[in-house]
Amino acid sequence: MSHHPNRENFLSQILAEMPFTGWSEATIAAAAQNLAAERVTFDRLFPGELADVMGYWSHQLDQAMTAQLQQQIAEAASQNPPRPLGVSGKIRLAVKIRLELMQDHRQAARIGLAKLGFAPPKLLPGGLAAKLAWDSIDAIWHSIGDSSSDFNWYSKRATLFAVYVATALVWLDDATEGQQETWQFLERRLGDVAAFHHRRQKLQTTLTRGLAQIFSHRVTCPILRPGILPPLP
Amino acid sequence: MTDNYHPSLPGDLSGKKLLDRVIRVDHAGEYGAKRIYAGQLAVLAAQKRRGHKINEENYRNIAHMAAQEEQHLKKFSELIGQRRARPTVLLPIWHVAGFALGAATAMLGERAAMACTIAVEEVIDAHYARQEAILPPSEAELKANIAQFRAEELEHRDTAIAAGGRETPFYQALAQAVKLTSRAAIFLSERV
Repeated sequence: MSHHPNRENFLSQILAEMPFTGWSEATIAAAAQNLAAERVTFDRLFPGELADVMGYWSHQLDQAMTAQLQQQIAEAASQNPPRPLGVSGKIRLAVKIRLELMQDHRQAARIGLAKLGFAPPKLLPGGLAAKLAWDSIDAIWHSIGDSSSDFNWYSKRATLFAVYVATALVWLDDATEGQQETWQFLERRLGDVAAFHHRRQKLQTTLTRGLAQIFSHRVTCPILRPGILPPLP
Repeated sequence: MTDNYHPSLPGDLSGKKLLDRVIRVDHAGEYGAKRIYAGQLAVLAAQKRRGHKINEENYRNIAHMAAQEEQHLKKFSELIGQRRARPTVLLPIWHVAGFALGAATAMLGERAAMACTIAVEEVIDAHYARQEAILPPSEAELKANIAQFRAEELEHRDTAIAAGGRETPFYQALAQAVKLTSRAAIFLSERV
């Protein structure tokens, strides 16, 4: 092993040790020992200790996910005949790639989530897990070419955040072969989103039509009988 | 471009955060400006439909300003995607408030509408000048955009002055109120 291990070296060692020694000094010590490095080297690379390691890991995976996603999108588009993926197809693919990248370290991901998702902020950067999940879904929207700059920016991210976090929680406890349960769960959640979108559009059409009728005086509502209210301008 | 560049001091925002803020607030500002002019145009068009006499030249000038704000907004919308900045969460509020401000001042009269333009554009001029000073030289392209937009905002102000905006009754009170609102909107849009 190199005497000057980098973040990547420490990351893989810590992910390997964490299932045994958990979120502890022992994990850091074991990782440093495996790399024949000093503890101070770790502190220099990750001043925020294990929380920094988790942040680094998550951002590395986001980058890897982006690369794989774009490659697969390009492949789908260059097939003969071309079968370009729709938005929900790209989302499905992105979430799957992102979770599968963590497949070998599910236990470490579980420990990290438990620590960073719910820890009181004074002890650890509380809510860091939520922030990292937000960064992941931001990376997904960015890499599938979303360019919304209005309020859709928020609604898109909020929707995907809910789908991604829920799917990740199922995935953490999924013991089925090939994580079939997770992918079916993801499919149902994407279905929910599509159904919600459809309902909202229907409601919007109904409302718009209703308002248009009111303003064109074609509504025959007993309360609005002529003479009760002054005529509309 | 280094002559008016202020090197950063401890406590200033780091590059990425600064850029995020700059793009967010400018996007919000151009969005609001577009809505203000839309409100003014809507009122003037309605007055015209009802047979009131309006100054056609003022209408054309405002339409021209609105078209330029649309271009500025387009640029900042693109930057939100490219530079991964977050748009402000207050956009729906600016959508309504901008239109209301434009419509209200236009209802007070065409000169009051021009007074509103003068006040808003003066605030934006100072705001863009400040951004040009704090953005690092590495953001030369963005700074050039801002400089161009700032020049166009100043044209709007001059047009509005020429149209008699400053002769509207209670000009000072109206302008101060609009300026205060604009500054508050800038403060909020930078942050949330």
